[in-house]
Amino acid sequence: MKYSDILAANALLQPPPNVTPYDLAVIANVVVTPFKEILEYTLRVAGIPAIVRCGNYDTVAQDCMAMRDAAAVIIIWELANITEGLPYQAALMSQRQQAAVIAKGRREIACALAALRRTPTVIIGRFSTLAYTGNNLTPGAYDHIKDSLNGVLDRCRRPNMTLFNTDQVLSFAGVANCIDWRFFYEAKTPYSQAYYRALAGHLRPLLLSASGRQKKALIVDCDGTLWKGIVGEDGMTGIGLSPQTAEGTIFREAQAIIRALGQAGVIIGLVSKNNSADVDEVFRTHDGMILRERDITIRRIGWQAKADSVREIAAELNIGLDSMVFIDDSSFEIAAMNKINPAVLALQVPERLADYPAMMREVATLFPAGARTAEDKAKTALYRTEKRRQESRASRVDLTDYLTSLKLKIAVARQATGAEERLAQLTQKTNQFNLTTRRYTTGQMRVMLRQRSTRVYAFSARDRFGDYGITGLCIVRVVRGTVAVVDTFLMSCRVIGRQLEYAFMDWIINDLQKHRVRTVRAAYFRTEKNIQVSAFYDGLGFTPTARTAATAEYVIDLRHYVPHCPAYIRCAHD
Amino acid sequence: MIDSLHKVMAAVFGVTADRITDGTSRLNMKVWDSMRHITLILALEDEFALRFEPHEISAMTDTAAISRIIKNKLNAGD
Repeated sequence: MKYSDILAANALLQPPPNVTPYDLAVIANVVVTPFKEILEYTLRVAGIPAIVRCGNYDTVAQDCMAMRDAAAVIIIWELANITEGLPYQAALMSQRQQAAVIAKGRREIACALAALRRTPTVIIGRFSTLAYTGNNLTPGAYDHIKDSLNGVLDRCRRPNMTLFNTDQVLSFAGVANCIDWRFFYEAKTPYSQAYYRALAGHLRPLLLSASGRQKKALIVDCDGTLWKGIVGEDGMTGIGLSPQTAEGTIFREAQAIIRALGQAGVIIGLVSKNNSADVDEVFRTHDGMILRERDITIRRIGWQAKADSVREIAAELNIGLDSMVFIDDSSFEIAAMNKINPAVLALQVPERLADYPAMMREVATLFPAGARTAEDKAKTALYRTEKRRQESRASRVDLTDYLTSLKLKIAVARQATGAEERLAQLTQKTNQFNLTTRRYTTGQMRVMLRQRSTRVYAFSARDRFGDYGITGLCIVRVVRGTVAVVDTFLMSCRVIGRQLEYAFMDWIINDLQKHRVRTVRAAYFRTEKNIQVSAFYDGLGFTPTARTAATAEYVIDLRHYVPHCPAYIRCAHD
Repeated sequence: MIDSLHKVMAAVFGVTADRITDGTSRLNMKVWDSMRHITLILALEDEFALRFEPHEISAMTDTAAISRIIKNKLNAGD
């Protein structure tokens, strides 16, 4: 895509006024203004309504102070500009002078990080010398300064902070493509648009996670997508999956990437117009297959429209269409998906087949980055048991009977130290059953778990089919002795529809009463996805005190709270 | 070539292509500041697979001048 096309497309992707934008600040000690549009475009096509602000030239600490309210701050420190002419001056400096440069860098880092200690996400590039010394056999003074400053970054690391490897980005795009000396000397703008593109791509998974917009499910077609040819026509032996051929190798590579995503917790689905038995046979008996039946969470093999199948899968798994990626080799199917389910990211297998694995590696970056929690690893199994539950529901007409048959249990924990990562992840990923949609990092969660004035309640749920893990979270701030404010109340979509929220709320209210809280205030903030909980507090008997189209505020005197927990849920203290 | 040039300038300045004329210059296009100028040069280099020299970059102050410089470079087989 040409740079001018990115600029034009980005202008069309401007977040609409009714959508809360994802506010990002890019701060650097050089001029990086061309990064604004490239980063916005990269994030907007991935579903993040990003608005990027750039700081001024070489005022990193001041900009950090001025932009600390952003949802995320990216800092780019160009080592060559830490002091004027550093790359060639370094070799001429005495050790004392080098130490002075390092001290200047250390002070700037400390000031910047102090300003950003409450910013939810801070992303910082490691210092690099590649553009200057990439070809040197022995490290010199410039490398020594780089290593020292990277050491400072490592030692200052805070929970809200992620370091990215600048060398990796430069190597991926090619150092010579990334640096534009003309503009460095003319205007302190050292990077080319190739670098900005590579950097935006590199940061996208992090920002998808931080903004709660990462994809959850990868839905793939079979013929022409998992193997070459059409199994219904070419037969088992006619389809291309041999490691001895280039085409077979390409499809096997694509399958391996899909399988790895599944093992990392991404939901893998099959949607194919085929005879189910043909596809089953390939999965069970073709020795070229890398994907196995157990890797597949959900499937729709038949002759109905793929757009309908994808909608059914979204409903069955309780996930949004915009958290799904669909891969097919047919331009007809891609166009149909774009027309009928535009929220699904539909991607076509490239005509030049050799580009297919690279496309899949790119697709892989759309899914959650960073550490996997135990719940993620077990997710495929969890969704499978969810399907069994739904099948069981289909065979029982009365919902209460059905829910009773599940033998639901929740165990509530207060201040669940040790589960910070999962709790933060719940705030980042949960969109539907989420009353206020406040996103927190692991570091912020750790702080809240320690605060006396903040009560963090979490529940794990299980039923006769299996364990859902930690799937509910409520954060309550006790503001004045007897008054508490619900900051966050959410439940993972895995456990929606079982009325566990009532059991959870009863438990919390009971606990607050024990700690002399008399009044609870709460709020609902409307988003594109949480309409289903807009009347949650009304249903619990809270009194509305203020209401607009987008928000509602409530209060309740706990003497008037009536428990709502259905008889079929057992609730225990963890 | 002229159409592509107008398309690139429109995208860089955030206006529709019909707003770009031969007379569009740094004097009458408000958003064309020094930062946008760098973006414009990067976008033109990407569009036409060219690389401009510093003296050319500073001379590219209106549509006519840009068009002349690009034509010269394309004709020279650069």
